[in-house]
Amino acid sequence: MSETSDAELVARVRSRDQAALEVLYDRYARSVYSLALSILHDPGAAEEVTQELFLQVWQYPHLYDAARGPFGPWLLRSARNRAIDLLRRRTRERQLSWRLEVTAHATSDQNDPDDAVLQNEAAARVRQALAELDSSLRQVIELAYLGGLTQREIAQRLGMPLGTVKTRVRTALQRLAAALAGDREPWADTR
Amino acid sequence: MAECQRPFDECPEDLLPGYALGALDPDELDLVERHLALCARCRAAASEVRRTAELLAFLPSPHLVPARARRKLLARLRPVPSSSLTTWLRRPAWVLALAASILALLFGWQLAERDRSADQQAQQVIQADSQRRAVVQLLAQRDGLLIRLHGNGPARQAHGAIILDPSSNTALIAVEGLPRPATGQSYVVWLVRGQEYWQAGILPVDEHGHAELFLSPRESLRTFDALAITLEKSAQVSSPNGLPVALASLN
Ligand SMILES: [Zn+2]
Repeated sequence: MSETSDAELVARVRSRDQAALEVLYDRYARSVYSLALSILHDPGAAEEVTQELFLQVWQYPHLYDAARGPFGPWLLRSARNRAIDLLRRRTRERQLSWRLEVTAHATSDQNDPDDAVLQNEAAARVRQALAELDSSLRQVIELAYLGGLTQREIAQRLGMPLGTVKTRVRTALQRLAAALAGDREPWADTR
Repeated sequence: MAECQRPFDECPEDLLPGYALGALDPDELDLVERHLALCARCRAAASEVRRTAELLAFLPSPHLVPARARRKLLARLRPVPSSSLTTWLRRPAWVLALAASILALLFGWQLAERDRSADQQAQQVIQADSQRRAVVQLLAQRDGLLIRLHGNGPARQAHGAIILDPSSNTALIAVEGLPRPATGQSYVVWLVRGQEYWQAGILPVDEHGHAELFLSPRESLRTFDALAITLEKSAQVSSPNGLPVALASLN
């Protein structure tokens, strides 16, 4: 089933085929987890986000609407939203100074970077293009995408005009688009 | 970025990259979304920049997911015998009505209604039932109003969902995996606005750790920031003192 398209797998998940969900998990869990980890900096929470997301795909597969685009971007957008929500919730909880026990999951060192080879070459090219951005461009992108800050909040934090932040965001995305023009997108086949 | 060729006086094209990145403030977001509804050119530009922004998902360096995450997930896929949110939603209407009548008795503000006639009580049950059905219908049709609920502290295993129906100003909270409170203790649900808390009800837990509560507050649900559940030593508390077990943002 590893050659099956995402769309077909989602259709099978809808008809309660657990093996199809497992294939989707094996295809995307690493990207989902890595993204959540970069946002939350907490392996336990990233793991929870990953589990919850795939559980949602299992329980509510109709939430993904193929007419609105391929599955991969949708899934990773949902992963980011969940992780950012959790990040903001944690901030809110701290602000309310509630006695929340922050889950101090043991962070076993199984995340050996040597093992972390992204199988998808196209995705590796994306990371390469991102790595080649000027640090000033990369910074605003990271604060927005991984930090969940708005452009206005970034301007405040960095003490620069909002217009500069907007320009940097736009330039960064343009450079990324240019660097990857003509590349196949890193998403699994979704026909 | 493609130039907007002025089908409108002010295409907010400088906001489109921030829009694609989810980095707009609410007022800007509102402006962009209103505009996109009218301007095909900006819609095309937005979807173009969004395709690029989606690639940012690969910004983080890849990490292996701990193998236990897969095992745990698969363990959670096993069908829950009864009362999971989904099976709850599939229960026949008469079960919903019965559940509504039981829940109605647990609502503090509805206890005051006890002296009313049986007819009125029956009326309430029907009303609650129709509200529930409205919510169920809503869930079936739209997805934006389902908010996941995660447990914390002693209720770390708990998870569930809040289904909001702004049109009828009702909400259904369904949680599973809640430890039963010790005698005398209760799970209290709060609606949070800024630093203020309104008690919204007691969350009854059955022997399987399932809990459901139907909310129909007097004030608009839209005006609250969050919903919180705490474990309190008494059900008669006016502000949360106990251990917080779950918090969900309503924004
Ligand atoms: Zn326009």
